[in-house]
Order: sequence, then C-alpha cells, then structure tokens
Amino acid sequence: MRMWILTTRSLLLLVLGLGCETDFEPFAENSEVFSVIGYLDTERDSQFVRVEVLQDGIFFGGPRDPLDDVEVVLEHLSTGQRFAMQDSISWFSGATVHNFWTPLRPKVGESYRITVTHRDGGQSSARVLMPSAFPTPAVGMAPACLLSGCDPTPLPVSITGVERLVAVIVTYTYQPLSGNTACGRVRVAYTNETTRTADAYRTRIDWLRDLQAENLFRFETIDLLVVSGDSEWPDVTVLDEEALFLPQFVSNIDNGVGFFGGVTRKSMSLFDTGICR
Amino acid sequence: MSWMRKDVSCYRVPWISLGQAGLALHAGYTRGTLLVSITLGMYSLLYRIILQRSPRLHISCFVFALACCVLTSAVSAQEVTLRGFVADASNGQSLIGANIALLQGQALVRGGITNEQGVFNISRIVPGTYTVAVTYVGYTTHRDTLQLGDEAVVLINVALEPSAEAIDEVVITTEREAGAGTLEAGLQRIRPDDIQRIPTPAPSGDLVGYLQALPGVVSMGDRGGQLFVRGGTPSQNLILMDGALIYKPFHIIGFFSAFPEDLIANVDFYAGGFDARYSGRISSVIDVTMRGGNNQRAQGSVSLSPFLTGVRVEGPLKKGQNSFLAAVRTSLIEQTAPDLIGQELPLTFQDWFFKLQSVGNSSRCSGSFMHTYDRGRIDIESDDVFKWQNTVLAGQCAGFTPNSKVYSNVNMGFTYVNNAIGSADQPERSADAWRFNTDAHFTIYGDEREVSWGFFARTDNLTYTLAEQFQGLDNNEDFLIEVGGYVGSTWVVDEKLDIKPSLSFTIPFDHKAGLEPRLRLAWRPWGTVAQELNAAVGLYQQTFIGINDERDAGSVFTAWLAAPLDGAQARALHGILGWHQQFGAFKLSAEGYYKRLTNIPVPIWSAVARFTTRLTGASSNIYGVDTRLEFQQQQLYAYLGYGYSWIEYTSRQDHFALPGQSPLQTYHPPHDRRHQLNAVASWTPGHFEANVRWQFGAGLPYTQPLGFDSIMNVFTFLQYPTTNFGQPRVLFDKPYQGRLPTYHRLDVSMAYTFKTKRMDLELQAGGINLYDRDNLFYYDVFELRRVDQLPFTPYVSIKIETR
Repeated sequence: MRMWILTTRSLLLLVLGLGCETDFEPFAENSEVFSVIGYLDTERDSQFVRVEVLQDGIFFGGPRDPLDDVEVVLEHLSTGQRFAMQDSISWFSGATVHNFWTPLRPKVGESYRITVTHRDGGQSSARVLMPSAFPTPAVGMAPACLLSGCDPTPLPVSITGVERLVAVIVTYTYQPLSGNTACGRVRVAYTNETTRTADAYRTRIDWLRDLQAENLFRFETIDLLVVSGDSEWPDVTVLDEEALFLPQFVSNIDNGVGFFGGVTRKSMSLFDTGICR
Repeated sequence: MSWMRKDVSCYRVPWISLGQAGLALHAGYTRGTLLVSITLGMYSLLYRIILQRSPRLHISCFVFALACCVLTSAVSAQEVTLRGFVADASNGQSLIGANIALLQGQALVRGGITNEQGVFNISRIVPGTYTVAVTYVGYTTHRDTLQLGDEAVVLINVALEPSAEAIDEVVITTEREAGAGTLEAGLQRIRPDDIQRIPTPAPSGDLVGYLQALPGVVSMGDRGGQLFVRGGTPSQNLILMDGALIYKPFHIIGFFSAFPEDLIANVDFYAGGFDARYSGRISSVIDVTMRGGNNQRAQGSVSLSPFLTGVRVEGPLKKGQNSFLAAVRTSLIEQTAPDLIGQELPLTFQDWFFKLQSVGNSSRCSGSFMHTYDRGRIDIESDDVFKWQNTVLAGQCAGFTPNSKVYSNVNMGFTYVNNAIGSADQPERSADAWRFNTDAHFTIYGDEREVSWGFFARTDNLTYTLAEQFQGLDNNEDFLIEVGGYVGSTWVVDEKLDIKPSLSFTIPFDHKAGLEPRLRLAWRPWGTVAQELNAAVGLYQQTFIGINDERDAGSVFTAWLAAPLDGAQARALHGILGWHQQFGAFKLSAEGYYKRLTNIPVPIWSAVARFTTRLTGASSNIYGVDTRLEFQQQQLYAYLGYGYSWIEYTSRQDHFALPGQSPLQTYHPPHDRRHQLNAVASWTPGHFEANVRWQFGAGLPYTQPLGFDSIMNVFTFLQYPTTNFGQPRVLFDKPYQGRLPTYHRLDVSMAYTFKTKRMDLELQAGGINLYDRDNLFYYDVFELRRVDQLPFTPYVSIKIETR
C-alpha cells in the first residue's frame, strides 16, 4: 500500500512537472545591440541619426518614451570634440522611431565616430571618413525648350572626383494646366543609369522620356543633384530590395546593424524658364 | 464485352468504343459491367486523342498492352478457381482480412485472404472434395464441404455471424494483420478498431488522431489540418475516399477529419514505397474505403460532445442487397470553448456523408457523396480567416465477371475543393481545384503469380487568385489532362519470398510523360510472417502540386499549380528497408527510409514585411527510422512508436549569399521534427473502455529574429532622413536555424456502454492535454506574441446507437 501511494505521488509530481510552462526565447543569440541608420552631410547644419534598440518591437508599440537610457555621441576624431545628440521621437501609424540630432556641419575629408551606448553597457559604434569635395559636374548644352517638338537630345552629364557615387537625382518642375495652383515637382533617380568610365561617372538626362512618362506637356526647370559618399557606402546598384533587408549585406556598425556614412553633394540648375521659381 | 472473356486479349481494351456500353445493357450485364464499359469507352476516346497529339506515345502504349497480354497468358491455366465475398451476416459489411482455408481432412491445401472489398480468390485448385473454413476475429467460423469438379470457377459468398467469444482457431495466416506494430515497407492497414483506441474528444475515434500517433507523421499542432508524412508536404499526399481524390479532408480542429471511425471500413496507409496502382503524388497514400450501410436492418445513432454533434442513419433499401448510409456532423467548440477552456476558439467545421451500396453475388457497387466545410481563425488575434470546403462524388464497382478469372475494380469520381484566406467577407487569396477521374483496375489471380493492370484518365482544373503573394502567379487557371496506366505483378517465388514489381506510366498533356518503375518485396527467412524483411524502391512523379506560404499560421492555405517551376514536374525516389518481428503477444517493426525529392516549389524566403514572395525549386533529402512495438493480450493493448527523421532542403536563395558565395542554401524546413514518440494504451474490460495516449515531439524549425528596425532606400534616405518611416524591417537570422520548444501532451478517455435490447448508450469522459502543457503552436515575431495549442480541455460525450 505504501509503495502504491509513493508510486502514485511520484507519477502525479511527474505529470505536474511536465506541465510547467517553458520559457521560450524567440530571438537568436547575437551581439548586436542597436540599429543605427543615418549619415553626415556636409551641406546640412544639423545631423540626424536613427537609433533603435534591437529586440524591441517597433511595429505595433504605439507612442513610446524617449530613449533615456541611451547615449548617442558624435566625435570629431582629429580634434576630439564630442557632440551629444538629442532624441526626437517620430510616430508613423503607430510605429515609433528615434531620430537623434545635433547642430553640426561636418567637414569634407575629416573623420568622425558615432557611439551609441546603453546604460546597461551595450555599445554600438561606427567610424565615418567624410568624402572629399568634388568639382561641379559637366553638363551638355540644354535645349531651348522642354516640350515635344524641341530638340529631344538628352543632356550628357559627366561627374568627376567622386570616389563612390551615392545618388544622381534630377528634379523637374512643371506648371499645371489650371494656372492658379503651384508648380508641380517630379524627381527622377538617375543613379542606376549612371555608368562608370575610367575617368568619370556618366549619364544622360532624357528629359523627353521623363516628360512622356509623367504625361506632362512641358517642364519649366531641370535641377541636378549629385551626391558623393565615403568609401563605405554600399553600391546600391548591385543590391536588390530583398538583399537590403538582410543585415549581413549593408552594415558598417560594430556590435549593431545598419549604416552610418558621410556624404557631400552638388546641386545645379540646368534649365529654368523662371515660371516656377 | 470481349475483354471479360478469358480467352480475349487485353490488347483490345483501348479500342473499345463508347457504343459498347449500350450493348452491355442489351446483353444483360451487371451494373458494374456497365460502369466498366463507360469507363473503357472514355479511355478509347482519350487514347485516340493521345495518338493524334503524339504518335510517339503509341509505341509506349503498345508495349504496355503487349506486357498485359504476356503476363495475362502466363497465368491463364485451366484449374478450378474458388472465389467470393466474405461479409458480416448482421449488416452485410464486407470483412477485410478474413482468412479462407481449403482443407482436405485436417490438412491445409490452399488459403487466401479477403481484400479491401471483402473479396478472396484461390486459383489452381485440383478438382476434388474440400472443406472450406472461413475465419475472422470476433465471428463464428464458417465451415462447408465443397465438391470441385468440372466448373472452372466456383463462387461462394460467406456471411459470418458475429460472436461475443474470441475465436480460438486460426486456420491459416497468409498475411499479417493490421495494427500499428505491423508495417510492410511503408504500408500499414488500419481498421476501425485501431482508431478507436486513440482518445478523441468525441464519441467516435477519428482517422487523423490515429495517423498523428504514427512515427513519421507530423502535424504542426492541434489546428490547421495539415499532415506531413516522412518529410513530404500535405499536397504530396494522395488521399482517396472510395477511390476518388479528396484534397483537404482534415478538419481545422486537429482531432477530426472527414473519416470518423464509425464510417470507415478500411484504410491502406502508405508512408512511402507505394506500388504503381497509385500515381500522381510523390510522398504518401491514404486510401480510405468507407463502409456501406447496414443491409439487414435500420440503424442510427446520435452523438454529442463539447467539440461536435452528429447523426447517422443507415438501413436496407432492399434487404440483403442494397443499403444506404447517411451521416452529418457539425462542430460545437466555437460555442462551447469560452465556458470549457475560458478562451475563444473560433473554429468550426461540418461534414456530410452519404453512401449507397449494392451487393450482388459477384460484385459490389457503391456511390458515395462527401462534403466538408471548415472555417476559422487559426490565430485568434489575427483577422485572417481560413476557409476550405471539399465536395466529392465517387462511384465504384468491384467484382468478378462470370466465367472469367479477372477481378475488376472501376472507379469514377468528381472532386472539388476551394480554400481561401483573408477577411471574413472578402478573401485576399483563394484557390480552387476540381478533378474528374476515372480508373479501372484488373487482377488475374494465379497460384504463384498475380497480375494486375489498370488505366486512368483524369482532368484537373486549377484556378487561383493570390493577390501577388507568389510573384508572377497572381490570377491564373491551369487545365490539365492526364492519362496513363500501370502493370504489376505479385510473384510468390516460394514460401519465403514475394516480389512485387510494377510500372506506372503517366501522360500529362502539355507536360513530360513519365515512366515510374517500382518494386516491393517481402522475405521471410524462416517461412513465417512472424519474421519478415520488407523492402521497397520506386520512382514517383507529380505534375500539379500545392504551394504554401510558410509564414501563414499553420501553412493552411494551399494553391494548386501545374508544374510551376517552368514546367518541371516534382519527382521522388523512395527507398525503404524494414524488419518485422512477432514474438508472443508482441509485434516489433523497425523500418528505415530514404526519400529524395526534386523540383519542389518553395517560396524564396524573404525578410521583407509584405505578403509577396517568389518561388524557387528545392530538392530534399529525407531519411529516418520508424520503430513500433505493439502488445495485445485479451483486454489490454499497448503501443509505443518512435520516429527519427532528418529532412534537409536545398534551394537557390540568391540574396542570402554574400558576393562570391554559392546561392544554394540548405536548411531544415518547418516540418522537420527530428524525434517523435507516441505511447498508446487501451484497456477494455467488458463494457468499459479506457484509453491513454502520450505524445512527444522535438521542436520544429523556425526562423529566429535578431531584432527590428526600419529601412529606407537611398532616394528617400537622402531627401527625408527624419520625416519618412521607410519600411519596417525584421532582422532575421538565416531561415529555420532555430527550434521551437519540444511538444508533449497526455490525452485520456474513459467510456462505459450501457447495452439494452434496442440500443447502446455510451458515456465517455476524458481530457485533452491532461497536465496543461503550454505547447507552442505559433510565434508572431512582429508582435512578440506566442500562440499556444489547446490547454487542458475536459469533456464528456454521449452516444446513443440503435442496435
């Protein structure tokens, strides 16, 4: 009888033990602490970087508090000058992002380091070498007008002195048919249509194609923006969207994921009727 | 009908015209003959279409027909053949696996066993006087004296009376019995009694519960209705109901399917290595024969449990010959769950089944109708509603033609399935498939060699609306015609060795034709079925195949497509080697298997948070071992099954490769359950019955997240670095590198049956997940939320059945 009671009790304990809740840790073990996404721009007076704590869901979290337990510091390496960046919160349909910012105009050719430190000790960082300044791109002769019937020849563009081309963006303006409304704007990325030759990056601004693609009558202005990046910038022309979503492809953050780079840019007006200025 | 005369060449079969069906009526042939005639007429038309489209196929068909003739002539000698049907005298149901012994004095001369239609055939009997003894467990032995003389074929139909006492006489055993411990190169025969032993939260057991207790069969959880067999995916399983395909018979609540124990006559379950009679699928076969109605007297039952309620009625239309059976079930758990387990369970299903059966002296014909409906939210927090419904019509005739040695089995079937996912009112994705199939199977029984051959023709229409889920496959329709056939033989070399070669050929229009040779063998080194080595090897091909998005909870939604990988058909190689050992009341089976699957369409794994993905071709290597130990002695039954499985997919996933690396990625898919253990025990003293099942499963693979952030393309990044959210990004590790927690659960049931003169009243009580284990079903990485399977769920059920 005693044995039977002992056996029954053992079985009951076993059954109850089996039913204990088991913790489940869904995240893969890894050393990454933060996601850091941003860039330093020599043409801006304020610099921004987006910082997120990894393993902290952002999609359905709704409004959240500032990351008080996170310190973001930008350091100018040649002078040792440190700039503490402040958190600003942005909400996008329930998702929250933290954009840290500081007033600073980085210098071309200089090195900077961004360090993101968690109060618990976790730290992610990245070093940025700002690109050198580059000459104003050479552009061919603009046509007399930008509508069907004008000289349709695309405008040749030659970009020199750029180590890593980040973007070539053409901005057009146009006047709507109803004259009381403000001018419209069309941006077209020419980055993937730019080829590298021995001495320069070259592209051709096919304004007539863009006009027809937008189903417009004529353009009033053409502005060209060329952005040059540091040597760490990923070559986005060879990465598809799926690859960009994988952390192992585009990241220069130590103990983190994301990308922190540096850019300098040149803007120039190629054509202007004056109507949309 | 010339093809049924024994001296006629089967080479004529393909050219029989449709008009001969009418001749059959004038000649007074049976209904089965008429069905055969119509079927063959259709083959004739299809055959002519084939020849017009591809004269090259003519050669293949000619060779096939010639093989039929050669094999047939090899066994058409002139001795006496004894054959017939064995049925239950109380209800007219065919008895499958009954032993038939032909004795002279006490000496056993010849023996046989009934097939899935209750048919037996003993050929090449020397004329003389014999005693025939027919035995079946639970029935009184039938004995009769036969004088076999001038007649080439003697027909006897035997009706056995049920007996409350166990028989103490087993005259012959030519084949092993059913049971979980019995495995013959991937084949397991399942009887209703086997199913009954699995605790089920309803008055009747269910086939799906039994299948889930077998090693090598993996389900993703207690909802969703998907079964993976030895590494194959659900759409690679061929599931037949009375000879007709049914696409999604497993209900959304994982304890139930369209096959409750009390409607099943027999199930042949091939986990692999199936012979050429079955074609069009590359993983497994679940061939379910539904029982007919009682042709002796009217019967009915009503059952009720918190999970479902059901009604069944049956009875004779013409006593002893024609019967009907009708059954309807509907789930109740959606209504009862809040009170029963304190949480919502928005899952519902219904099924309807109707069968007419006619029993003749030398044939059995039936017509079956089945309709199922499932709807529900697999993840109750999600708005996604899954729905599916099946409709199946099946006609079947089997029997012998007078004065012929040919046993024929002819099926015609219509199948429709629809499944959808999305909001309750407007599904985002939906897929439909319908099939019309007709097939005919013929067997000539010999002494040492049994020859079988058959033909089939089927048309499939597949439509789908995928809302860009699978890139390039948004809205479309596939229409597919397949014709083909097979030839096979069972050659009993001696008492120790059986060899069963077979060859299937399939001619899908607009796709490549395929020849699929297969071989099964059994070797009994000591000449008894108590020790047997089984082996099987074969090639398999599948033209239309289902695709799933594994990110759907439970991967329930399936779209069927015809060879979506640029027309490449899925193919498989199976190899099986197993040993069966019987000692006393114990049976032990151990079986190793290997499957190589190629051209399997799988989604390209994507980290992008949108419901769009692309397909790529995968190949799969699968191997494992199934081990089963079964014990049965009087009122006590116990079963222990362990399965080890290793599944690896290799597919091209370009974006996972760093520059310079191979784009081929290998991973273990989400159904790679490495270890699986099932223990079942049953005790049935008198009118009492107690059943226990414990199941354990190693954790399934899943893709681990690393964290979350947002990402912008450069264009946006440069212009709106702070004012644009970009796209949410889940940072994933490589696919399926993590493992979910292990799964285990204990289910129990106890029942007592009160028997009166007019009815039986069964009361049952039990519990699912007795120790309330938190078994993870699904993890939502976006919301960091786990969805668990059912907690401890007690239930009581009642069933009233007229006698």
